[in-house]
Amino acid sequence: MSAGARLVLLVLVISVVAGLSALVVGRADLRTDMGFFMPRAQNADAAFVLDRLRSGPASNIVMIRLSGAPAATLARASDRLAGQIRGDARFVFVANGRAIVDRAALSWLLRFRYVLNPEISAAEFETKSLRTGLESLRRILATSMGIANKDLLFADPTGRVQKIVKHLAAGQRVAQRHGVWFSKDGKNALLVARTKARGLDLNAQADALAQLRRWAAQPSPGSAAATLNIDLSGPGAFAVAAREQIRSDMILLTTAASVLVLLILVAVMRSAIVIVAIGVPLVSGIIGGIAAVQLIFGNIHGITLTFGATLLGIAIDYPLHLACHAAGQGEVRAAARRIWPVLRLSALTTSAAFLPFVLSSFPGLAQLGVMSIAGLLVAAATTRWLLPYLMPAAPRVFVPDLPWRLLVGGQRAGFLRAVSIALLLGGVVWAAFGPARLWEDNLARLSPLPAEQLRLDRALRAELSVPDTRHMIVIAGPDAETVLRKSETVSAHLETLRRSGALAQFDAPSNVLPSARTQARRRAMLPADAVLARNLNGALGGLPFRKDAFAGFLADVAAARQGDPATPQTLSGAMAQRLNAMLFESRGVWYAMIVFRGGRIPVAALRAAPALASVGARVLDLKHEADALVAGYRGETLYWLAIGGALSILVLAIGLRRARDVLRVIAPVALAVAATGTILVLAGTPLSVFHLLALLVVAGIGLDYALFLHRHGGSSDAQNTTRAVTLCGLTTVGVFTVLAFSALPVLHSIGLTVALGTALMLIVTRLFLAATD
Amino acid sequence: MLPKPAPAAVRAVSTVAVCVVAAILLIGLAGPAAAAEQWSLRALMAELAKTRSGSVRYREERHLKTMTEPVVVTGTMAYEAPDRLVKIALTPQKETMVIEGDNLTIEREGGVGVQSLRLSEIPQLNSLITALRATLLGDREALLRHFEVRVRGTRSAWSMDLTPRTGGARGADLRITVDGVAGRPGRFEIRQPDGDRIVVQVLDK
Repeated sequence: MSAGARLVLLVLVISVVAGLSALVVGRADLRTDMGFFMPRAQNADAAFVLDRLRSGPASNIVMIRLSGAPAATLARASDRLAGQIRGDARFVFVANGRAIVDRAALSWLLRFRYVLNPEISAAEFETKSLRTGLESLRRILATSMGIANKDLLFADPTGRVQKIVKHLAAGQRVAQRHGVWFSKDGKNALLVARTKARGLDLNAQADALAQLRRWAAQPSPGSAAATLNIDLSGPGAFAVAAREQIRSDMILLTTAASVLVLLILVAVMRSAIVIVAIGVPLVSGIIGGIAAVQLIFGNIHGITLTFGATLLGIAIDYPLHLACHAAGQGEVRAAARRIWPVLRLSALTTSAAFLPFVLSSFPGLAQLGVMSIAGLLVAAATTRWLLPYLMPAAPRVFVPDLPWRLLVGGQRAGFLRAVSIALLLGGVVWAAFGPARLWEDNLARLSPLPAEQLRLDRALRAELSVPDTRHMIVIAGPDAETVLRKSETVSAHLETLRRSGALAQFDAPSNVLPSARTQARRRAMLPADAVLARNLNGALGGLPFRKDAFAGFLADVAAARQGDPATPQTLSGAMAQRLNAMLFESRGVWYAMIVFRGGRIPVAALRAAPALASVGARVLDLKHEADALVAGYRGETLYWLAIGGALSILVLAIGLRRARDVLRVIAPVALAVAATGTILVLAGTPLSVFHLLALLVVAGIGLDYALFLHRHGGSSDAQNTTRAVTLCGLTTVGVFTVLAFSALPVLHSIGLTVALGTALMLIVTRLFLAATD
Repeated sequence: MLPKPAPAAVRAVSTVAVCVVAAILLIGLAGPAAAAEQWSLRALMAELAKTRSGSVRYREERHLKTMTEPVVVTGTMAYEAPDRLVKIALTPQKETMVIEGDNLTIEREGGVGVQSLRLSEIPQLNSLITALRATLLGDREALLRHFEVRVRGTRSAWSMDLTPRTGGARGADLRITVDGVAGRPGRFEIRQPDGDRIVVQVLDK
C-alpha cells in the first residue's frame, strides 16, 4: 500500500470515527445525578429512607446564610431576601425569624384551637380560669397588642392560640437579632426556604439557587457596603454542587490526561501519522463503549463517561504493542498477525475481569463495566484489522530503555523475587491484622462534596434547629389516622424521656395534627353552650366588658364542639409544608416520621421500648444504615471479583493450555495486586468498593503485560516487547495519576490505586517474567 | 310698640354685621390673613418640620364597642428626625415601643423580653404609628406615601384627614383626623371600620 493511499485511508477512517462520535455523543442521554453512583438499597427501611432523603419533601429545603456586613445591614438584607423569595414562584416557603405563623396558619389554628396540642383542660372553661383570662385580657388591651391583635384577643380570651404557637415553636429556638434569625455569634443572618422543585430536580434547583445568589449580590439600598456573602446548603444545594464538581472534573481531567498521553506519544513516536493512527483504536473504543452503554441502559452517567473514557485509555496499549512490535520490521500487518494471539487473549482476559462491573448493583458501575468491555474489544479489533492499513511501514519508536538489569535483572533476580514475596506476605499479615483500618465503610467519605460543604450544612442545621437527618423514627400504616394514633403513642413515650432529660427535642406529626380520635376526646371536654355562657357571665362581674363582647368566643367553642376534625387536607401554607415533611403517603402506605433536634439519641433504648414496639415503630440510624449498605456492597463486590478472577483464569487457561504457563502469568499479577492493596492500607487508606474495582483494573493491565512478556519475552521480539510494556506502563501510570487528582472520591481512589498498581506491575512482571539473560 | 322688622331687613342687617366683623378681623390680622388663605399641607408640614426632635406627653383613650369604659393609656412620645419615634406607655403598665424606619421593637413589663417586628406587617399599628410619627416630624413624603391627605382650616386651627392608601392592607378602611394649632398637633383620632376609636391627646410637656 502506498503512502498516499494510506493517508487517504487514514483521513477516511478519521472522518468516519469523527462522524460516529458526533452521532453517539450527540445522542447520549447524559446523567449527572449522584444517586446513580450510590448503592441501591436492599433493605426496605434503608430504601425508604434513601428515597425520602433524595426526593421527599425534606429534600427541597435550602438553608441560607448571609454574612459579610454589620448585623443591622444583614437583618435588612435578610428581610429583603425573604420578601424576594416570597414573591417568587420557584419557592414555596421562606422563614427568616419574622412572624412564625402566617395568615393561613393563623386561621387554621383559630378554627381548630380546642382540639390541637397542647391538650385543653376542662378547668380552662370554669369561672375562675375565665376570670383570670379576662383580667389578663384587660391588661393586654392597654398595650400595643390591644391595637394589633384586638379581634383575636376577644375571640380567644383564654389565649389558646398563643399556647399552641408556643408549643409548636418549642425546640425551634434560633438566636435573633434585629428581629431576624442570626447565628449565635451574631455574624450571620440565617434563613430557611423551600423550593417548589424536589431536591434532585437538579436544573430547577440550580436555577433557584442561582437566583438566591443573584438577589444576594444586588447592592442593598441605603447601604454603600460591598455585596454580601451568601452560603447555601441543603439536599438540593448538595446535588447541584456535586454536579458542578463532576462537570469540572470531567473537563479538566480528560483534557489533562489526553494532553499527557499526547506528549508521551510525541516524545516516543515522533511521527504525526503514527500518533494519529494510534489514536484510532482508542477513539473507536471509547465511541464503541459509549454506544454500547447508551444502547443497553438508554442513558449514560457523567461519571461513567469520564471514568470510562479515562479507563479506556489503557486501550492505547494495543496499538502501542503493535507499533513497538512493528518497529524497524517493515510490514505492520505481519506484526499484527504475530501479536494477535496474545493481544486477543489479553483483551478477553481483561474483559472477563471487568464482568463484575456489569453485575454490580451500583448502576453507574454497571455502566462502567459495559463501557470498558465494549471499548476494549472494539479497540483490540481495530488494532488487529484496521490499524495495519493506517500505520506506515517500519514505524520508529524511541522508548528509553529503563535500567531493568540494574533494578531486577541478572543474578539478583532470584533473591529479589524471594525478598519481594517475603515482604509482601509480611505486609499482607500486617495490613489484615495490624492497627491500620482495612475497610472504608463510611458512605460520607464517598461523597463528592468537599468537607467544608458538609461542615456548613451541620453548622446551619444546628443554628436553625433543622432536624438532623441521621436519626428518625418511622411509623407506617394504612391511613393518616392510624399513623397519627401511632405517632401519639410514640410521642407520649418520647415526651417522658424528654422530661427526664434523656432525649432532646423531637418533632412528631401528631404534635402538629393530633389524631381524629384525640380530637374527638378533646371536643367532648368542651362545655355545653349554656354552661360556658353561665361561667363567662360569672367571670365578667365587675369588669368593664360588655355582655356581648365574647359572643365570638362562645360561638367558636360551640362550633368546635360540633365541628369536623382537622385533617391533613385542611392545612395549607407553611404549616402544611411542615406536616408534609413528617406525614405522607407513598404507594398506598402512610408514613409518619419523627425527627430529632440535636442531642444524643438513645437508639438502643428506643428500639427496646415497648411503646415503640407496640406500634411497629422503627428507629433508624441513617448513618448506620448507609454504612451497612456500603459494607454489604463490599461483600457483594468481593464475591463478583472472585467470580471475575475465576473467569479470567478460565479464559487464560483456554488460551495458554498449560497449567505451568497459567501459573507463570498469574503469579506476578496476583503478587502486584496484593502488594498494591497492602501498600494502600498500610499508608492509611482503608479500602472501599472503588479501590477493589480499581485493583481489578490493575489485574487486567498486569495480565496484558504478563502475557506479552511470557509469550514474546524470550523471542527475537524481546526488546520490542520490553519497550511496548514500558511504554504502556508509563502511559497508564500517567493517565491514572491525573485521575488521582480528582476531588471525587470515586475517581481519586481509582486513579491512585491504578497508578500505584501499574507501577508495581511493571516492576513485578519484569522481575518474574523477564528472560534471565 | 315697635313695628315688627321685615325678615328680609333682619337678614340684610345681620349680613352687614357679619361683613363688618369680618372686615375688622381682616384688618386686624392683615399679615397672617394672607397665610391663612394659603394654608396647605405643604405649609403645615413645613411648620411641623421645624422641630427636628422633641418629646411630648400623651393620653390615649381606646373606645371599644366591646367595653363599657375606654381603656386609658398615658405616657410619652419622643421623636427625632428622620424617622425615629419612641412611644413609652407609663400607665396602666409600662411598655416601650421603639420605631425606626420599618423596624419596631416592643418591650413590655413582665413580657417575654424584646420583640422585634416589622411595622408594615401589622397594619393596625402601622397606620397609627405612621400618622403619629410623620405628623410630629412634619414628614410630608411619609404621610403622602401612606395616606391620602386633606388639610382643612387655618394655621391657628387646622385639621388633617388621613385615609390609608389602598394596598396598605387591612387598615384601609380606617380614617384618621389630626387637629392642631400651627406647628403643634393636639389630637389624633383614629376611627376603625368596626366603630372603635382611638383618641391620642398630645399634652403639654
